[in-house]
Amino acid sequence: MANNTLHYFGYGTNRDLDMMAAMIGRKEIIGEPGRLIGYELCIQKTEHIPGKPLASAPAPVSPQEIVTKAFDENFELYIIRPNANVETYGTIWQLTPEEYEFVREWELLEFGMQEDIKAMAIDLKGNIVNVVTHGSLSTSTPVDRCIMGDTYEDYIVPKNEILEVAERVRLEYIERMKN
Amino acid sequence: MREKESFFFEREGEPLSIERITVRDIQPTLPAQNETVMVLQRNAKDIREAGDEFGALDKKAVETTHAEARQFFDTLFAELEEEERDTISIMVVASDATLLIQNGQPCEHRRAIETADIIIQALKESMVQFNVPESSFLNSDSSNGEPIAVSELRDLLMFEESPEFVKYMTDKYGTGKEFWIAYETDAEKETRIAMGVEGPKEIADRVNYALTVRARIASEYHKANPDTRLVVWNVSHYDSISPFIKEHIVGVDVTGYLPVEHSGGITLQIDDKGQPHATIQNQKVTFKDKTYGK
Repeated sequence: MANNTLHYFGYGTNRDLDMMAAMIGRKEIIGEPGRLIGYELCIQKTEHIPGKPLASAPAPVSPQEIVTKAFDENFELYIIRPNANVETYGTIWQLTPEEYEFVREWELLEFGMQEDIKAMAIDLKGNIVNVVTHGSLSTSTPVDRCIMGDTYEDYIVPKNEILEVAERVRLEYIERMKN
Repeated sequence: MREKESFFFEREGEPLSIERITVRDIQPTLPAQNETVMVLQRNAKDIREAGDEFGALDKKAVETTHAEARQFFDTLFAELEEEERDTISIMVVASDATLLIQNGQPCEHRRAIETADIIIQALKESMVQFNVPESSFLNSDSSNGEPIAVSELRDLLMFEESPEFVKYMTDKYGTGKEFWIAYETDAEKETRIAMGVEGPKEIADRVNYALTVRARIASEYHKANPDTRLVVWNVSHYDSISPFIKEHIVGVDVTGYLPVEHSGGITLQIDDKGQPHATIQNQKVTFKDKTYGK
């Protein structure tokens, strides 16, 4: 790994290259399958997404309001939360810190939709990898259901729709950073 | 409550008689082949006086922490024959927490990570002296040689997760010692639970969760690398380590007081069958059988 890159653990839709390319604007991304030990993969419906604006958020709007506006009330979201006895399957991507900021923007971390997490993953060769990711550090985070194993659907929102929104969010973020 | 999970370190039997955890409780213990030794250490003393150095590690603490860590690794490596020294692997893990205190000066220092930096420095010196191969230091590949940063070993989550509860507590107890005593004794349990804030029992479980995850990773490491010995050094904080030791090691009330001095901690072992065991201050900790079905 180059010194100016970090390992990002992408799970759910973010384990797919097309989604990552839409989010960060680069298609040739190095990534390999991995497992995040001690976190369970779950799905939230809009009612489980925080509905109160965070005091420190960039704008006085809640994550629930943002996703409902961008999609609709049937939107579903992947999230991880701690569980010592399970693991989450995903992809260990090599990103630059600047590219990881696109991921943080997409996941609305500054708005409190999820939290920054640093954890340990294991790649296919059995190597231990220190990764950054996002999710919840609370076991009581409300979810609709949890998923076991590697064979889950990457896309729980129509693929074209989510890729289009991800592209738009990235371009808006770049514009905002210019100003 | 973490009802669905089963933790690795589940003690049973009579409580131990321990009044204080010190740096001497980090016993240099050489793991046998296919075994793991885990150290759980409190961060070194940091500077709390307002000013440019707020949150940085105290210089004297840096020196003593380095010397203790050096002695730990020297003792371990010296016990190995020259030809056995490629059988040991070491991983250094630390909480990613920055220093957050109520009404405190903003601070970017990460005292567990900075303590782990000292441990790594001592380890590397010892590895050179005893001709332990560089590949034995697992952080080189995992995290470019830096401490492996993890979120689950953070001190208190309440500052980030519930500013409302912190305000409630500071309004009632101020920002000094009374605040901390009230939190540690869970004096505002009902309000805390109503606000969805983590308490001492939940913190104890979170650290057990962290060590359970580490034990799982150790198990996978041994499967992939048969006949190795693994040392996993974890650096965390008083607010997380003390509840864990009270609840899961000593077996006393989690809202009581058990001091853990700066840079102090304990050593835990996992044998080749996956069974945890530990001896602290000459007292054996009995853990539930974890080898069933293996």
